[in-house]
Amino acid sequence: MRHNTRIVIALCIFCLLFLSIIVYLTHFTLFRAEDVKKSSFNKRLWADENATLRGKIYDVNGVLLAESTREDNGYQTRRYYYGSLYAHVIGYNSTIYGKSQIESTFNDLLLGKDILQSTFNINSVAEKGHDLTLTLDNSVQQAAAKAMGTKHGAVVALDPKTGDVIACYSYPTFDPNDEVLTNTWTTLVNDEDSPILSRATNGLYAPGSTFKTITAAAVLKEDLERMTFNDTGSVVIDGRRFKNYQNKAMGNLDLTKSYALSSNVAFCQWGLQVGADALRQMAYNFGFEKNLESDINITTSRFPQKDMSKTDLASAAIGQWQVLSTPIEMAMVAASVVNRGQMVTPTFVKRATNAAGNIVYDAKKKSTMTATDYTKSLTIEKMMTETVKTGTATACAIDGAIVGGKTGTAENEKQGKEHAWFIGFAMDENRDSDKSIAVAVIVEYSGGTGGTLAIPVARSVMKTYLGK
Amino acid sequence: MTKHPIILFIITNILAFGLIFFYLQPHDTYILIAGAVVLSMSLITYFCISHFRWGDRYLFIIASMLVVLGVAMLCRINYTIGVKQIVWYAIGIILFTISYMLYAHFHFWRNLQWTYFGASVILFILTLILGQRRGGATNWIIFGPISVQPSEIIKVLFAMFISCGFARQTEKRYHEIKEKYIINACVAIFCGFLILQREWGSTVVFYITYLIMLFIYSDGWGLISLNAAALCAMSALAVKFVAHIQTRVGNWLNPFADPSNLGYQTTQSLFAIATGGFFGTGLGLGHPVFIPEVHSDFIFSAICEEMGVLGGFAIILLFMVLVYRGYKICIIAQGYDKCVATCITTIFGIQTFIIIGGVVNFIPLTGITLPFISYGGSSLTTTFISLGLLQAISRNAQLKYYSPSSQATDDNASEVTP
Repeated sequence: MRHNTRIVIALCIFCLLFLSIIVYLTHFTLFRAEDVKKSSFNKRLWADENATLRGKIYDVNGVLLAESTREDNGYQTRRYYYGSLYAHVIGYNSTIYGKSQIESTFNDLLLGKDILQSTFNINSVAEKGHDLTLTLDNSVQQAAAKAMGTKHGAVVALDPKTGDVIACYSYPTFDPNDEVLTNTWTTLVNDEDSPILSRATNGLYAPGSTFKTITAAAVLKEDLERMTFNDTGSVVIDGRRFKNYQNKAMGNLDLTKSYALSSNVAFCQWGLQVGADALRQMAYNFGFEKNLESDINITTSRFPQKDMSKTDLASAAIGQWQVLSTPIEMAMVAASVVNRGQMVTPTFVKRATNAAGNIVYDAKKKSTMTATDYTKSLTIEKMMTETVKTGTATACAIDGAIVGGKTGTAENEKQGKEHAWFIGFAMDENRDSDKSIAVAVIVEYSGGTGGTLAIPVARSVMKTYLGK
Repeated sequence: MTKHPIILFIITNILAFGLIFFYLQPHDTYILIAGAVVLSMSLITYFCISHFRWGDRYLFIIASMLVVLGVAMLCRINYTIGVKQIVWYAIGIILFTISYMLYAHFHFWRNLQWTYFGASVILFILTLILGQRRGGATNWIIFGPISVQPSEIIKVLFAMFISCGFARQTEKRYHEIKEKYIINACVAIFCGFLILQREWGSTVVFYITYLIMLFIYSDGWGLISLNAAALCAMSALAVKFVAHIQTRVGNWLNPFADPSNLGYQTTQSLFAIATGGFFGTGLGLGHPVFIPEVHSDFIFSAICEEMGVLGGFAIILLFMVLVYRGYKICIIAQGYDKCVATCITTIFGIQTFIIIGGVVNFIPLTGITLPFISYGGSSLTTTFISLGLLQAISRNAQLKYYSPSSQATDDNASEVTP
């Protein structure tokens, strides 16, 4: 009967419509739900979080850096007691703009969730979140900020043995406290100086002469350290002239001397001697092109994998060409030299403790990689101390401490506005005291040399840490 | 013939009311008593259906299952509303029985065509005069403590009304060819009144029901093509000129364009579904109260959040089975009964698809209730009245089907009572 056929057709249409909703919902749940529920308009995120009093954040010595307090209306306010000082490390926690840095990556711990709960997404609500203890030292961080003043750039200080970040400061910076952030957000995101950018971990700069540390490691690896070059102030490679700073002729140079005096002429030729593959491999050993899994996002430093002409190679050997590095990466280079060639991934958060004082998270496990071997690291360390004793970094010497370093002046897209670099390390003269620090400083578009602008910042940080 | 469905229903009842009992602090034994009363009422009704051969055994269980799931959700959202819904459910069961009795034992229903129409028009005019605005639509009449939504009652009248016309058509008893155009004009009047009340959702339900009825029962393709063309033209005009419809379509295409204002309802609903995931947060552990209109139009999102998208699938599949049972009755029914059953089943199906599709942003959102689940006295009781009619029709059809005069063969008959 015709009507019954039509009824069956209508039934089929309805089944199809219902099944299409089921298919649509399955697709939505599998592929879109994750993004949708993260929207800052989803009040659930804040409703659940508000039930837990967010954990406090302390520096390594127990100085309170951030704390949440409950207001009369039941909501919480996050207070950052040092304002802009830790903006690029701790980040912000805003109901409007979301979370960044440690506030974001350690969100589960700050909300008191343990690993079991976050893995299985168990929706239980703790009354109080876990407290975090950072590896940063508030006095060193303050010294870094004071020394930087209003110079644009970044300072990173590491403990070479443990990879603990002692100080990490970028300028320009911003105040992450909620009411200030709300008022300044539009200005912040539109500011051409990008105050929100964490220069120390995400800024990429040409490393300049500081990269000669890695070139020197490659020279040692290839057993070429007996070679010497006669430095006449400039050298022509494939038609391009490479000059020393102020065209200074330095005479006959061995590896240590050319490193200490920062001879471009010698290092360009050393670059050609070791070859592109060996230089690139050494850069990889020192962490270039390696994704560093740390507590906050670190941008990968670049040493592009592509064909290099002779001039490219000579230029890369002195940290120019397309070689780009973050300040924290260069601090790791200095750290690995004093840590006998072992490079430790930086850590920002030392531990988390629950309300009862028990440790629920401990950053003991560090991944290390071998940058260079024991004896070669000693040789490079000597070259760096020689630089401070007799070379370009004499301004960094500290009484009662062994200090080594390397200055750099990196050319960039702005003519005559070079970045001033300094990387170095310092340890107590009495080597048994075990206290050492590795520092990297960059002053952006300063037009000055690393020696004049970056060294005072690094020296101040080292002195504060060593208590000299 | 298994008795499993009723056991499932009993388990669902015990679980639902038990959960609500433990969820509420302090524990309220009243809810357990209410649950027991409702469960025994349903069981008595089910016993009548199966013992006195009231026709299809599944319709009532499916509907009751949906109501109980809805009640559990409503109690969790707002206890007062949940308790009220339990009362409405009890009244619904009584009305179900009454409408079953009346339809099964009297046979003058097909002669009242213009009574249905007249009553509908009077209700429409009353709504226009006395109507109160709630959530954008003028569709409530309030008498002291009681508020009625006349369009829900009109839905039943509409089904009875257009069925008269189609029944005559199928039996080739049109007095004159013009009658089907008169019916068509009357449908247009129904839709016109609904548009005046800004009840876009109901308008779509009524009109598409009419189109499907035309598809099944009209002889030629002329009228249906004309109406389909009119629907397309009207939708196009509405999208172009009616600001409200424009917003709805805009929200459908990009709900996150203005999440705090225009897209608020849709995005809050999507957040709920996304948060629930496949398995849900668990009853009482989510935040369904963030969704606007969560107890009526958006209850499906709340179910998805706390009972999971899989819980939502269960609801959709229950509706699918309900529509299947409905159309199965249509197939064995005859004459006027056949048309009424088709119309009621179609209304259930379309209303479900439109509101579930709307809240999950599969189609543009139009506000109507989800049958049997959404909170609302008018909605719940009138759906139970419709269900009572469907039940009576299934009984009439089965009686005829088994009578010796029927031409049905035996192997077909075995399908009738599963």
